[in-house]
Amino acid sequence: MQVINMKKEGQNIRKIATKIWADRYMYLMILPVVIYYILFKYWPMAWLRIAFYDFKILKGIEGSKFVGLENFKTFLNNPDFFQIIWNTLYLNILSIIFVFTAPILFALLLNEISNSKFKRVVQTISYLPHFLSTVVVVSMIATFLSPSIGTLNAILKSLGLETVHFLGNPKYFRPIMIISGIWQGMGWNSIIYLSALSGINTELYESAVIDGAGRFQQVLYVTLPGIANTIVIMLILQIGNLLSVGFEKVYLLQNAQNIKVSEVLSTYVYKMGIVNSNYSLGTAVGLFNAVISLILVLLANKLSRKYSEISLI
Amino acid sequence: MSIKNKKSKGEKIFDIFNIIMMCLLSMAFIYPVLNVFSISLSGSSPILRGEISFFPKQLTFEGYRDIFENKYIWMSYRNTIFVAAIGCAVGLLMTSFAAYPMAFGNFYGKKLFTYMILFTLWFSGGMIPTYLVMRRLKLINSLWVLILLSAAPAYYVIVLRSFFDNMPKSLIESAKLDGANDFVCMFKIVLPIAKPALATLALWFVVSHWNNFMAPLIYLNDREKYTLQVILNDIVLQASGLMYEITDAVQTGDGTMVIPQQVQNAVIVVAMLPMLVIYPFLQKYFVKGVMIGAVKG
Amino acid sequence: MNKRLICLFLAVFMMLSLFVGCAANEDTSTDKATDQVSSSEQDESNGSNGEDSSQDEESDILFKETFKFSYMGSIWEPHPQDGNPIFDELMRRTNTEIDFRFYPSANYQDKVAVTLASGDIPDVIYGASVPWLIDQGAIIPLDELLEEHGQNILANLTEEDYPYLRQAIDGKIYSLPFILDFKPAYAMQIRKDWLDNVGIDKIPETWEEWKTVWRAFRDQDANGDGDKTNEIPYAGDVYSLLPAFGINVADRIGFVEDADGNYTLMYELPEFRKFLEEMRALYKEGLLDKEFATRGTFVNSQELEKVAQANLAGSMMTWAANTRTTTEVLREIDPNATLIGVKPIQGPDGKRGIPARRRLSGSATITVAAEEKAENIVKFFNYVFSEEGIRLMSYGIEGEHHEIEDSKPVLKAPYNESFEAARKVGINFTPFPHLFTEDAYMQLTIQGKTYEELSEPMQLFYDALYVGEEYFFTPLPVLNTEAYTEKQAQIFPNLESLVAQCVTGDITVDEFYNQYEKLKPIGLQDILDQGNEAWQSMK
Repeated sequence: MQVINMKKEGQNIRKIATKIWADRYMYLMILPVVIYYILFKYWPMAWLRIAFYDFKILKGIEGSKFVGLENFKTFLNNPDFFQIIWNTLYLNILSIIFVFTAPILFALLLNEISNSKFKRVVQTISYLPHFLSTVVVVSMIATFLSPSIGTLNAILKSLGLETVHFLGNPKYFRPIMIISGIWQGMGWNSIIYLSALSGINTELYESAVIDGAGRFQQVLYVTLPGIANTIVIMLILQIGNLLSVGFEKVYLLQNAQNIKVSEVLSTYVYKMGIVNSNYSLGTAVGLFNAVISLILVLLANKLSRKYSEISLI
Repeated sequence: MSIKNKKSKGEKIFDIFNIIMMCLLSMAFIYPVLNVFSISLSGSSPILRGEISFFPKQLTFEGYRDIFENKYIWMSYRNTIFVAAIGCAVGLLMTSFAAYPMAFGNFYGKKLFTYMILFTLWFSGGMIPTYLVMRRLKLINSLWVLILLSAAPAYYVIVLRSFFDNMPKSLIESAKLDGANDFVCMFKIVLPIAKPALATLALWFVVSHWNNFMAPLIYLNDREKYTLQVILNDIVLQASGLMYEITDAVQTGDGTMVIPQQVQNAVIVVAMLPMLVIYPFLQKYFVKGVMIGAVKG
Repeated sequence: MNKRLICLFLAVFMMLSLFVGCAANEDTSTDKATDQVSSSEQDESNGSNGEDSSQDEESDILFKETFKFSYMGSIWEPHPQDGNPIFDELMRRTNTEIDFRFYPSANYQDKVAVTLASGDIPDVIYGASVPWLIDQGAIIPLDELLEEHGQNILANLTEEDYPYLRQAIDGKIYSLPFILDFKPAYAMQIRKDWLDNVGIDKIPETWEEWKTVWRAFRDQDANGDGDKTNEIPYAGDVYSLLPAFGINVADRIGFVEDADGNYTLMYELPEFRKFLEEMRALYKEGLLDKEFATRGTFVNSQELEKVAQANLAGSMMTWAANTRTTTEVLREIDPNATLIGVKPIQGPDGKRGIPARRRLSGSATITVAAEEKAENIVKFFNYVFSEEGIRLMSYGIEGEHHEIEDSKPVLKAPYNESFEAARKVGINFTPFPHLFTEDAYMQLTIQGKTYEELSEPMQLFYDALYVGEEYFFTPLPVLNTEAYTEKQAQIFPNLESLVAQCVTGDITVDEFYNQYEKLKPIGLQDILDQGNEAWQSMK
């Protein structure tokens, strides 16, 4: 018996060894990546535990006081906390519905244009806004929407309508964020879908035509499935960001009149640190975010695997 | 699209609608940028009165003169081009090394490897720890720190892998039967087909290095090593008092030291222009990809 | 074949990256070495120049042995690009060698944090948050050192300055200040030509007179563009009208002293209710800026200046310099355009005031790494605050940047033409503690001319600086107590929002106070109590 077991084990080991040897080039390939990740990403992560300390830079972690969950309490302890989380989620869900889908639609529409020169020009123009910094974009938004000097209100006025102080009214805050977000990112984010589109086998279209598919059907049965993989992966990644909103734009668009809807996690944490930069607190918030992201992504991934067989992992 | 078939009436209407839509969108995209460009070439008074829209008024090159008088600007251009070019090359290589095994490999530890990369999407050490590690690695005040810090971002790896996933596995299996190893498979078969994806990633790498602002501030110490964004930001900094507490500059200057708007806008143009030039270069790969990507079953 | 090639390629690539990495590091060290050589050469040449031009004070030079220390600061454009002649002179005179490390001001606090974390701590840090540095245990208190070695520094401080210098946490002084000894900064401003257009000759002073003017601006086409509705009678935020109600603040936080000398918030004052009621009335009448909440503050005034220069604002409170720029910009299209500075608005109860410039700003702190050097560093800055030092920092080097006329320094052209020109050679170099004199400031402001030689817009600016002189007040400092640090992020945005809602009429005044009281148990009361405690102990 034993001999057989040993033999089996020996066979197993040999089998494993053979497999490893067969994959030696794979291992060689991931070697630099693994080294890189350990050095540049995982080594610094050893400090993540400062989230549980009252970290003093000069003393290092060992010299700092362990405070347990105190840092988490500091930002969870706000009576407005749920409002803040709600604002953050709301903004991100809107952003998934509109800002995330806009580039896909744009890429599909652009793909339907037959004149390749026109297509290229539109494409190049469309990604211009991506290169304007947030500060610039916000000051453009403010000028454009201003009741006194803005273009939009000048148009309203010439149509005989009442001028509106868009930035001062909380109900316009989210639409402003979303529309400007679409404007900023539509062209740039469509690049990945365009490149996915260009990877679709043209024969598929040919056979679709032979089967008598019209243009709309081609989009539905060839184009969309061709980029579905990319869309789903991007969506899963996006879902992981439900609690993080780009800080800068919200902060700059925030004012005393819209603060009730515009305070999000990142701006609140920024304000907490405005007097004393507190790196322990920042790390605690980061950890909180990361854990929630991880859970959301694993859920999204599970759903995706169940229904579309596309998955991140 | 190479397929030509007769268009139905509905399709024609759609085409017209589509073209009009694209024209309108293009206007919305280009107007603000044109406005920035016009302001960078205009005299102060019309700018301050808010009169500039499509075309400059009181044409002047003052804004650009102010920028190019800064002797560090050329050095910073050189540094940025170095970082963007090398960063892009290193990044593409490392990202491919990470994505290829994830897509085509079936080795022990693949899952662990995948998790190792994914995990960093959300968890990171933070600024101070990363700085301390870079210091141990003797990378402080070196341009290489900018290149290495974003050599294989998890996000890019996943995107590239999703492209690889779309490729038929049979391609590689047949090559392997012919005795090719994974490096050969990757360089000779997979990457050429993945050109559109690589072009996208290349663009991402170049642009992210080009726009990188935080890392150079934290990791570089010498003015001679600063990248373009740092120098440009320095030039317009006091004007963007939005983000900062009132500095001593404003306190003493009574607002007279505020940087003129044409300079601010010239800075935006100077930072943006090179990026507009590289796009058409990469664009052709998106189109070419169609031909090469048309793999026979 | 291929395998080897690729392996070779890999190996070479890795070696190369390592090699280049090291090479890059070596580069830095050699660069620095040559830098030092060249700067010391410069020192020498400067030194000999100095000896030639003036009888030197070698005998009473500050340090017998060259004193070295490092100095970290944030810098912004414009600044001297190739060495700072004034620092060179300063180092030569005092026999010091300062290793200046200047970094861009964006994210400077983070730069300080990583520098501290790396253990390579500079001796002096300028421009980082002092309460934070104390909390990190990174800096030392200077009270005793100043007492012993900083006579010149102390001599330039007045009684009123101390609360701005002391730290709320323990009442000690941790920083050396930059002092700008020039109170005028802001002015109440009104469009003189608009007054003419609406047929009012008297410059308004009382609350009723102002309201009459505002109503006229609202109802008539004061800017003459054919649109009667686009005039903004009073542009800017409501906080700038607080001094007319006897509430002397200059920020949106609003710490004041009440009748009993307690440090408290403006909301606690009985005058605040009156203020809210009046603002609601003004807003309802359409006299206030519709965009008051987004127009920025009178200190951070770009948005405000934008509407002024677009010919839409009738009156406002902001930097006095705005009278000049706005007038200049508008005169190109309307030769009558004139924005003048006027006395501050007299409120319903006859109160008026306008904030004076903050006298102290900036902060040079001495780190724990420099504990032994601290005495000498204070001695060094004591020289900077001596008469000679002040003259050097404010006027530059004699013969080069200024001449002596009637035993007074007079800036030479082109250094007297603008703040930029002066700063480019290092005059009034701000990430560095020193005193900038009123006289030097004025020479720069009026570009070395006499009042009569000035252009009319420049004269407007000059007048605007001084028009409110008798009503200047110094706002209280914001004390960074423990409660304030911890709770401000949830309290003050709420308060600002409540004020805005109340002014626009979304909530009543009573509701405002109800909401206000609700903030007390969740931190506001602690902020008030701890603030007052710190204030009483510091006074």
